[in-house]
Amino acid sequence: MPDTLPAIESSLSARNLAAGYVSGIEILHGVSVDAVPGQIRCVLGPNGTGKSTLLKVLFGFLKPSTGEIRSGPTVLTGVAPHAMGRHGVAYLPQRPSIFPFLSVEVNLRLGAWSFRRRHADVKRKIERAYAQFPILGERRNQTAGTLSGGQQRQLEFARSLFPEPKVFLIDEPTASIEPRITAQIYELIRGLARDGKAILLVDQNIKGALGIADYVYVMRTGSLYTEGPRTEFGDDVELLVSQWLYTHHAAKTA
Amino acid sequence: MLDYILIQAANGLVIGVMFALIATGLTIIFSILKIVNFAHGEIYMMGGYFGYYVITLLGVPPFPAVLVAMAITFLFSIGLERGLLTPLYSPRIERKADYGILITFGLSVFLRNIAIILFGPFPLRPPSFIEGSLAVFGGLMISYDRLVAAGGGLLLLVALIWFLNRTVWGQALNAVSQSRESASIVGINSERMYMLAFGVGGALAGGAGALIAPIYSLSPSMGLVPDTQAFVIVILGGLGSVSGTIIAALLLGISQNLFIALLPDPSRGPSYANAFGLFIMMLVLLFRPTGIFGRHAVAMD
Repeated sequence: MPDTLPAIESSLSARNLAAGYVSGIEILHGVSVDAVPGQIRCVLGPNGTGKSTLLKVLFGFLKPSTGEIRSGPTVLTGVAPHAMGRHGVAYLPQRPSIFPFLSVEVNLRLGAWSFRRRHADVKRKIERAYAQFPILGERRNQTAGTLSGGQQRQLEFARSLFPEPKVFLIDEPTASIEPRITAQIYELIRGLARDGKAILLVDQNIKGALGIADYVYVMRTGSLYTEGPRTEFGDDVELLVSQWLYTHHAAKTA
Repeated sequence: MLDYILIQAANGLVIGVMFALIATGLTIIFSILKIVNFAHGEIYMMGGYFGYYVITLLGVPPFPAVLVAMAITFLFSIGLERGLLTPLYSPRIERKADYGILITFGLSVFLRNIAIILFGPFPLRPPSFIEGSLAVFGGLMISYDRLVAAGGGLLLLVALIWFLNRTVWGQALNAVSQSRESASIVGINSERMYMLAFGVGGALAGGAGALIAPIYSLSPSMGLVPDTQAFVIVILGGLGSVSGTIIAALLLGISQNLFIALLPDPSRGPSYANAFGLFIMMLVLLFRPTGIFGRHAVAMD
């Protein structure tokens, strides 16, 4: 384990998670990760290694067969997804989790579901979202499904901030999004970290993710292959990629 | 002749509004719980009997009795949902659509027979909302009860549209129907929405039963025909679309009554009424499988 980072208390920690969709077939075999305030921690790895499954398990969509998820002293293993917001965890899945047939404004209102009775608060937060993302304000009465991919991501980001979560689980935020918007989205994620949020980012866009990551987990076929601070991996992204690609390849041909 | 057609169209409108109440409930349950509720006609029947006994045993006047019947049907439906449908939400049940069909079909047979035991097989008729008839179109009459049923039904439909579009609970129902995953990401507890959807759907059917009782009387098998018609309407309206369902219900009610009216032998008309609806459904399924107002395909999962 690297000791170059100062010991910081993590906002969400998972130990030894094992899980699968069908009983008897495990996709994760004993994975341990931490989300740390102010840090962007990136989970990398080839397709089908269980990166997305890991986030689903962390958010409660899939129950781990073994292992534990905690937020400080609170055990979150087995907590239903709809209750995760109350524990300060937000999840942004690969496909934007917006409601395509509801208007942008109603999408935002639903983002305030957990505090829907505090009307002034809801209104203030929606106005703030419009100020931060003017395009959402312009299109407030349009159905969310008519927004572009990048705008849907903005809507989802704006909405996810409403309950003021401490931890963000983000899955492939730039998948199928035009490159111009990609940089904006990474900048958004960086901004969250600057505000002290703990980010766990799963990404296929290795260059983009490493550009903002503080810490890297590399997964291979359901378990952690290696991990360490971004600086430890050096600046040679190609090396990292070829490293796990090579070992992956070697494991397959062995 | 024109008078006759107009009055038949007016009658069709009354029936259409009743169809709309039943079918919107069915479509709300379908789009939220993703099951076809085969017991929906029986919940409509129960609502009618609840209204009858609230009037005759508790002495509640007919108008508030409709609301009381709806409240009882709401709670009754939630009881059924909690007791019978919770296995649908468990990951252990794999063939959820099959489970839904079997359990609601069984429930429909059960409720019909329990009604025979509890309420008796003979038709019961609660007191009129308002006695008498309104003379319209030169000598032809339309009873006040029909006007009350249509007016009350339209009010309920307006209230429903307001609830679904303007309240945060209605919007949450809509959200769950679009994506359960996204709904739980924003913190909506889907199970509470299933309860609400089944309760609201049941209350609408129960309201229809209570409104129509003075016109057609109550019998344990009264739910069978409207149930079939409601399936036709839900498909016509595009599964899951509430406004499409309302429009389809009004169209079917009116066109069906005109069909009866214009049949050369009017005495045989009513026997063909159901066939007419099913014939329309076959045409729609052949030429527009997503329904007239369908917005997207709905997967059973």
